[in-house]
Amino acid sequence: MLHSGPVSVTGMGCVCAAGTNLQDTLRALETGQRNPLPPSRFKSEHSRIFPVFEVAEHIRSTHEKPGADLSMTVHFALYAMEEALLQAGLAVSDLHSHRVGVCIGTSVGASLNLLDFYRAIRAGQTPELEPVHRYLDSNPAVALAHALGASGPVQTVVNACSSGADAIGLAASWIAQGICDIVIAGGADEMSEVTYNGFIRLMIADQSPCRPFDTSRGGLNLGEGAGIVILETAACRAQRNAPELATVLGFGTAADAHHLTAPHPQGLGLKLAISEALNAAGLTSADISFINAHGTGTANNDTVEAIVLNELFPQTPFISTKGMTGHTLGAAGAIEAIFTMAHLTAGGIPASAGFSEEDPLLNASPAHAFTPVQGQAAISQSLAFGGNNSVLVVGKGRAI
Amino acid sequence: MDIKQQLKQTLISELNLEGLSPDDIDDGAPLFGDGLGLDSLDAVEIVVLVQRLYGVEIKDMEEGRKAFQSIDALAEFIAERRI
Amino acid sequence: MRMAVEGMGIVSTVGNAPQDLARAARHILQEEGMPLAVSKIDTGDLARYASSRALRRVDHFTRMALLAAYSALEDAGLEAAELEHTGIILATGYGPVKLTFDFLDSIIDFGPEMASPQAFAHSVHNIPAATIALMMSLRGPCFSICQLDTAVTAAALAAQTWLAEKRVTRVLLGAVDEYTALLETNTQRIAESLPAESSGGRRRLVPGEGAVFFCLHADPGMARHGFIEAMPPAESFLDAPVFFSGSASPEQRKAFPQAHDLSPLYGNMPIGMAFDAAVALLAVREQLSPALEKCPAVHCLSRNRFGMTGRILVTSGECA
Repeated sequence: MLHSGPVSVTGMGCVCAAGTNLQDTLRALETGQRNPLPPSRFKSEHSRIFPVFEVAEHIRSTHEKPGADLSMTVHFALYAMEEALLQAGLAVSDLHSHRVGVCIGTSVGASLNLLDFYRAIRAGQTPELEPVHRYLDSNPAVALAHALGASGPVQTVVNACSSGADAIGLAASWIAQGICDIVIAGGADEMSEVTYNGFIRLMIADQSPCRPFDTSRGGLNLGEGAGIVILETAACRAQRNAPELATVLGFGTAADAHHLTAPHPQGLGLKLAISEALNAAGLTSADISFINAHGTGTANNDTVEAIVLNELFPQTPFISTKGMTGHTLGAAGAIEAIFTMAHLTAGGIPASAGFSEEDPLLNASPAHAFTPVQGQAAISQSLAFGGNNSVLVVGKGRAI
Repeated sequence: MDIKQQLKQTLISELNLEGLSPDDIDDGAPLFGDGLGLDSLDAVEIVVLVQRLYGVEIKDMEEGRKAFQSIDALAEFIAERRI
Repeated sequence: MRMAVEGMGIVSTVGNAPQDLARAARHILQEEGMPLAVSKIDTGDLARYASSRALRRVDHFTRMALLAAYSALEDAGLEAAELEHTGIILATGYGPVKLTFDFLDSIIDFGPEMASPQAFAHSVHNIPAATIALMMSLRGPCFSICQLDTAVTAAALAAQTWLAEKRVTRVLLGAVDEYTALLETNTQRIAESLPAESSGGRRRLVPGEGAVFFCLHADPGMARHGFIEAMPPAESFLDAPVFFSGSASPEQRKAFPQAHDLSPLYGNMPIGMAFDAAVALLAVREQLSPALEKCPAVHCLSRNRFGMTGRILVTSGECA
C-alpha cells in the first residue's frame, strides 16, 4: 500500500454517556465514575435488567419534539459536528468555498428498526408515515451533507462495530488523494429497542456494568452517541492558519473470513489490519505508545484481543474505554479514535474502567491506574460483527 | 411425539438443516463441532427455541454447554426443568 | 482514475446473462416507458458455487449478492482461491429488509425474551458482505454502504480510493436490494403522497430486487468489459448519453440531454444505478445496437430526494 503523509485533524467533537462534549467526557474518563442504567426511552419487557449508557437527557430532549424530522442518530451527529467545527474555527458558510466531503459510520442509524410502526401494521392498522419519512431523511452522511450544503463525496458506512473507524480511515484517504479539502468524518448511533433486544438474545450482554478484560467480565453494555473529526489537507489548514490537533497516520482493515458472529480465535484479521495500518503509517509496533482496544467486555472479544496484544504489543499499555461509554456500535470507532488522539496529546491514559482483576487465561491487563505515555503515535482498534477488523494509527499534532 | 423426536424436527426446521431427517440424528451424538456441526449462533437460537416450546430458560452458555452435549442431554435438561 | 471491469455478474428479474440484460435494455430504449414485469428472483444457480449446507442460514438478500459475486469472478475467469489483495464493497439502499422484519416479527410474536438471535445477527447490514468474504476466504478490506439512491456512487468512489492507494489490486464492487411486500406498500403510500411530477414516474413502478457485482482491477490492461470511473471530470464526454435513476421530476430529467430511464428493467430500486452501469458497459461495447450506437461512453446518474446527484462514467476505453 502507498504510504501517504499524516492527515491533519483540526477539530473534534464527542457526545456520549460520559459527557456531552469532549472535555467533559475526558474528565469523566479520568474519574472512572460510571452509572449505566436500564434504558429510559423504551420499556424493556425483559425480566432481567441490562444496563445501558445513554446520552444525557437534556441533549436527547432537545430532539424529542413532536414531528421531529430527523433521527436521534443524526441529532447526535449534528451535535458532535457542531463542537468539531467550532474547534476547527469553521463556520458553515466557510465550507462553501471548499470541496467538503462527509463520511459517517453507523449501524442503528441506517436500519429499518421501525418497531412501533410495524407493530401497528401487524395489528391491521395504517399508521402515519412519519417514521418512514424520518428514516428516508436521516441517512447520517446524507443528512449532514444536506445540513451543511456540502457538495463533495458523501458516504454512510455500515460496517457494524467498526463503522466509525472505517469512516475516518476512508475520509483520510480522500484527503490524502486530494479528492477533498475538508472531510467531516466519524460515527453516530442511537439506543434502539430492537438492537437492545438483539444483543441480549445473542447472550453477549451483561446485567452488570461491563468489565472489559476483567476475569469476571460478563458481556457488553450498549451505549449511544457520536464522534466527529474534521480532517483537512495541509494546504487548506495552512491557508486558514488552523492548528493541527492530531493526525491520522494510517488505516488498516481486514476481514477474518472465519465466522459471522465470533472473531477469529487467533485474531488473524486483527493482525492483518494492524500490520496494514502500521505499514501505511511508516511505523513499527515499537512506535506505538498505547492502544485503545475494542474491549467490549465479552468473553470472546477480549480473549482474542489479548492474544494479539500479547503477540504484537507485549509491553505496550492498553485500555478499553467502553467501561465508560458502553458499546456505541457505529460511533465507537470514531469516539475511541478521538479519545486516543486526546490521550496521546495529553501524554497519559486513564485507568481502564470496569477492570479490577486480571483473567489468568488472558495473561494481559489493561492499565488499572492513570499511566503516563510518551511517543508520537497510538492505535485505536475495532472488531466488528461479521469479522471485520479496523485499526487507526493516530499521531500528535505538529506545530506547523 | 416423544421429546427427542420433537427436538430433532425442531432443529432441522428452525436451523435449516436441509436434507436431514430425524433418523439421521443420533441421540447421543455431539450437536456442536463434530457430529451435527452446529455453532455458537445456532446455540443461542436453540436457547430461544427451548424457551418457546418448553418454557425452559437457559440463563447463560455455561448452563447451555451441558444441555447441548447431545439430543439426550438436551431432552434430560428440559425434562428436569419443565413445569 | 478509471477502474478496469474484469468481470460482471448479474442477478436480475430479466435474467442473469448479459444477453438478457441487453435484450431488455434495447426494448426499453426503443419503446420508452414500457414497464416490464418485476418478479422475485430465483437464486438456484448458487448451487454451482456453494453447497446447500454452507448456505443453510444464508438469506435471500445475501444469496443474490453471493450469486452475483461468484458470477462476476467466473466471468473474469477467476477462482476465489487465487485472489490476493482483493477488497469487497457492497452497496445497498435498504439493507437486508426481510430479515430486519423477521426479527421484528419474532419480537412481536414471541416477545423480546424469545425473539430470534439468528434473525437479528443476519439483519446487521454488513453481514452479507462478510458472508462473501467468509465463503470466498477473502481477508482484505470489506465495506458495506447503505445510502438509498447514492449508495452505488459512494461505493464506486470507495473502490476507486482503495485501488488508487494500492490498498488492494482488485475490488469486488456490488450492489443489492431486495423486494418485500412491506416495502412495496410503503413506497406506494409515499409516492401517492408526493405531487405527481416529483415522483419521477416511480409511483408506477413496483419495487424491484436484484444484485450486480463488478470485478474491478487497477490495471487498465485487465478491462474485459470497459471502465468505470467515480467522480469523473465534469467536462468529459459531454455528448455522451445519460442513464438516469433516482428521484427527479420530468422537468429535472429533461435538463440532461439524451437521458434514458432504464428503471422498467429493474423496478423501483435505490441501487438502480448499478444496473444502469451494467447496461452501460454493454452499450459501450456496441451490444445495444441498433437502440444505442457508437457511444464510447455513458454517464450514469442518480439523484436522491435532497437533489444530491451521484455520477459515474462508463467507458469502453477506446478513446482515453
